[in-house]
Amino acid sequence: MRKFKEFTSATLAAAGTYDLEHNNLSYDGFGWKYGFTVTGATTPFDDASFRAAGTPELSQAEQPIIRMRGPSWRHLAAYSSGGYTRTLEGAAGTGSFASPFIDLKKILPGSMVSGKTKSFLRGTAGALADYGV
Amino acid sequence: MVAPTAIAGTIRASVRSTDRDPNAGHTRPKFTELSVDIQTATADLTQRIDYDQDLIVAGLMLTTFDASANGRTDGFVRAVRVDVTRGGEGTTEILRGTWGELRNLTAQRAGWSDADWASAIGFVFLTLEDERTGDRLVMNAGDSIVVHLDTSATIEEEFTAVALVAGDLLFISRIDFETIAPAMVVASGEDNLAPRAVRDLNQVDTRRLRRAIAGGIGRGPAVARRIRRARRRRA
Repeated sequence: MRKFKEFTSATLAAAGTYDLEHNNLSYDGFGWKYGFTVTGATTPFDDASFRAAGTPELSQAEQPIIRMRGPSWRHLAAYSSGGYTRTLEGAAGTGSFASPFIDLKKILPGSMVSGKTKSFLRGTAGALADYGV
Repeated sequence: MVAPTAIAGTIRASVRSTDRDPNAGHTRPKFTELSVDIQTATADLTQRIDYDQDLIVAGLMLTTFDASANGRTDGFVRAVRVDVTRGGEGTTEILRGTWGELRNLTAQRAGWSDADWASAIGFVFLTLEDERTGDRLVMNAGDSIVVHLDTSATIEEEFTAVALVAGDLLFISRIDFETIAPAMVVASGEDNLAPRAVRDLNQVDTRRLRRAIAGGIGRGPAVARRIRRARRRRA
């Protein structure tokens, strides 16, 4: 039976690091969500919420499985799911989020990631200047 | 305006599980990214991608970065060509199209709406296929792909040219998959990859098949018979 399960989660500020882990389930779909509030007046850039997550890396046993900039996660998720999902790139005082989910089997049928080894999502969040001006 | 003074929140990740047994052998993603400096207009800027292990190539994602606007644009790249060089086959041009053609093809393949098309400014997905190996382009160690970019031709009618400046980039995301062979998984764990195991994909011996094709067997029924025989042998 298919299950939808979360990794561990972490609080994350600009330029901060994150290291989330998951175990036991093999999977053919994977995504992340970075939700945050913005302080200070700004005009967000293209893909600002995705750039705020930096370059997320999904890995197993120190080998990268997916390592791409946040915006690339966005486009691949849109390509694999048939459309761009809602995103929010807010100015000061508003909540923003990026939430790409990549459907592996739609990119290559039969592809998956084994649950026999722990998976990690690691990275360093983007700098404040990556978000907007 | 200025950059924000603080950003704070929570990052989460999630999976959708599959009930398939990884011990039976499977393909695992290997998505990586590189950037190409495109700050000078040229008719043929090349980026070579060398393969040091056997991989299945689902495609290449191209995303522009306009340094002056800190965003994406359709105003940089006019046309794209992709050449594939594989052992025993020489070099074959497998893709040639304008940026607009490739943008539209991307949207059609993905089933996007007009709104999605508009959201995908500065982005194309190049699907690379080989019908001889189940619509999958199999690249072996030693093979290579060269991406040719034209940033100087007349721009298509639906786009507005943007002058290239220092810092302008094209990101190429490699959407590859590696094969995890059943025996290797059982014998020594998931960490051990089977670099020569791409031939196990679809139970087709792709090396043998490629040799057969190079040896003069034409496309069509003869190749189909070869594929069926290879599958039976592997079953």
